[in-house]
Amino acid sequence: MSTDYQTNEAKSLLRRVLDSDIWYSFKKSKVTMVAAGVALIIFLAALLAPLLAPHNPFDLASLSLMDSLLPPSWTGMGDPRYLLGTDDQGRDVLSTILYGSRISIAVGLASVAFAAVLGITLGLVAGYMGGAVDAVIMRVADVQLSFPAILIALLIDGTISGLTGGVNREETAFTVLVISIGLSFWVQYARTVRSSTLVERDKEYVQAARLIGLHPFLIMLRHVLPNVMGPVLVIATINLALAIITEATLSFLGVGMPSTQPSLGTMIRIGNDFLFSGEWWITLFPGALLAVLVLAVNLLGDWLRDALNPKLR
Amino acid sequence: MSDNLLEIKDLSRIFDISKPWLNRLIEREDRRLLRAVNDVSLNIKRGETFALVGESGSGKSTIAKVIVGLLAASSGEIRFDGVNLAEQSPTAMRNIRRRYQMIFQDPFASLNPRWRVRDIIAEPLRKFGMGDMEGSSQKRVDELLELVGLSAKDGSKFPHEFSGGQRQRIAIARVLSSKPEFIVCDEPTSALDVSVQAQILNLMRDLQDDFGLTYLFISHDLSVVRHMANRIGVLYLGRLVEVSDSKEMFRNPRHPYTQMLLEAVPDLDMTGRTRVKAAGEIPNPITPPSGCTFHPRCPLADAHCKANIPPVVESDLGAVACFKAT
Repeated sequence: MSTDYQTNEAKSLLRRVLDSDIWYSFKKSKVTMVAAGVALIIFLAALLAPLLAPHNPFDLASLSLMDSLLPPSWTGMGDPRYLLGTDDQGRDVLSTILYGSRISIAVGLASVAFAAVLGITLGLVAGYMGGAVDAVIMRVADVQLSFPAILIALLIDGTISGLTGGVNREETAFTVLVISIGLSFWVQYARTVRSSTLVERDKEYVQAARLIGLHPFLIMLRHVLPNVMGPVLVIATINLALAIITEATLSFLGVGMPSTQPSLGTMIRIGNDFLFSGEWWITLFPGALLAVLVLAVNLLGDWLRDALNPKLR
Repeated sequence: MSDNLLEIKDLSRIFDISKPWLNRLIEREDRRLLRAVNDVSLNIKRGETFALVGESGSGKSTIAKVIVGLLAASSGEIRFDGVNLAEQSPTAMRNIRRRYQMIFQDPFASLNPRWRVRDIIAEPLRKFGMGDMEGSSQKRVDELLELVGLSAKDGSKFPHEFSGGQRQRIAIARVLSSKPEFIVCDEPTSALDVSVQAQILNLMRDLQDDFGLTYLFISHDLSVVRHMANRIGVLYLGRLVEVSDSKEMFRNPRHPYTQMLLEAVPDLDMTGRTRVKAAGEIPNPITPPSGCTFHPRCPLADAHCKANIPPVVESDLGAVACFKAT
């Protein structure tokens, strides 16, 4: 009997996806399909960087300063081994971009996940508990919202670096970035989740759960959470683009990833030093990839927001 | 074992609807209190259906929520099967909670839209540790679905795949899963079509006969109440103005408010007779009228009614709170 149910469910899940409004609106929107394709290619390329990259930019033994600052190969002045040229350390720009986008995307995803978990938890608790708990959490959120996110991220990054005395910068850079970007983005999740929770909290299915004496924590987790996740998905997608940009900005300002593990932002910063002496390729290619990636993710986020908005259907 | 399953004594519920502290301080306003339920006492006998009727804002739903513990009582006591609910330890309450349940008004809001029907019905089973074994809880859910007139296969569906009447059946199956003795029904049919209302009401009566359930039935629809109730309590502005047997009340309403309500019931027997409209509206409960709160709408009211609150007088015919009642 029970296995019977499960096969039914598995079938209906695939059917539900194919029959869903979201899939329909996805198929209708050419822009979204292109954006999804581009984002998918960049994500896959980043994921498979060790297989795709012609060189390993982290293998110091393979680097030669003789090869530094070579222009792209098609300009005639370059080296056919380095398609997009090399940077000041003699690292292949194409390989560094692949590895760099890997770091950028990883920081983006991790900080979005961190911000989402923090924001959803605080928003749920604030909305469901109400009263003083709500007031304290939301006032902190309001104060934080009055500063630009990048300033908060800089502040947190600076504080953590100051506390650790800057030692092991290379090992801690990733974690510090994720924490500082995550902490500067949680407010949006908390506010959205709180407002949805306020609506759901008074619905009768929550009252039915309270009536049988279910613990408030379980009610939040099992009943309220699944019903407030829709908008969170949209915010998370749009925030992924924002987080990648923020990471690039921090790295560009020199407080992000160190130049031994360059992210896209770090590469743009390094290339920026050489831009006026004619070595344009070091900064242009990572910059272009960053722009395309952020644009694609943003378009996906915009589409998702519209697709999930019942008023626009 | 006492004859009464539920005893409510001098129950009041006051809502604080004051503005925030800072506004009160600056605007020099006092606290504003709303007495939604005011010194209500009633007993519900084992196995009967007790109906609470009244207009919107009379405190029907507040009483229901206080009884099942969704709202705390401001004063007064509630005894369930002889034990005072306010004095029970959390572990004791766990056992008592299993024995009462509530059917909600809106079947579109009372089922979690993200849960499968099977999980919705099994939730009380899991909570109260009934049917711990995988198979037995599954079997019980299937039984319950068939009991309320649905198919066992419906368990794997989501609530949005059902109509309002079917959803109310699912809500009833959930309520029955923990084998309660007492069920509070807060306007269980007011969100349904008339044709479906009768099906749900008949289902509820059948279940009452089969399981010996006791209902507290809350409604503003007197024809529904007449169909369901053994005894009826009439609420006006948070006070119980009349309690009597269902038949007795429809034949011989004693409180002028009850008389007014019954006059307004659409009824085939009344064809040709001019109907007296229910006059006026329920007053603002924040600033209730002095004395008998019904006096601004009452055809019999005099100076005595305006100054004094009528006590509830019990007699063989039931209880009534009116100076003019005969």
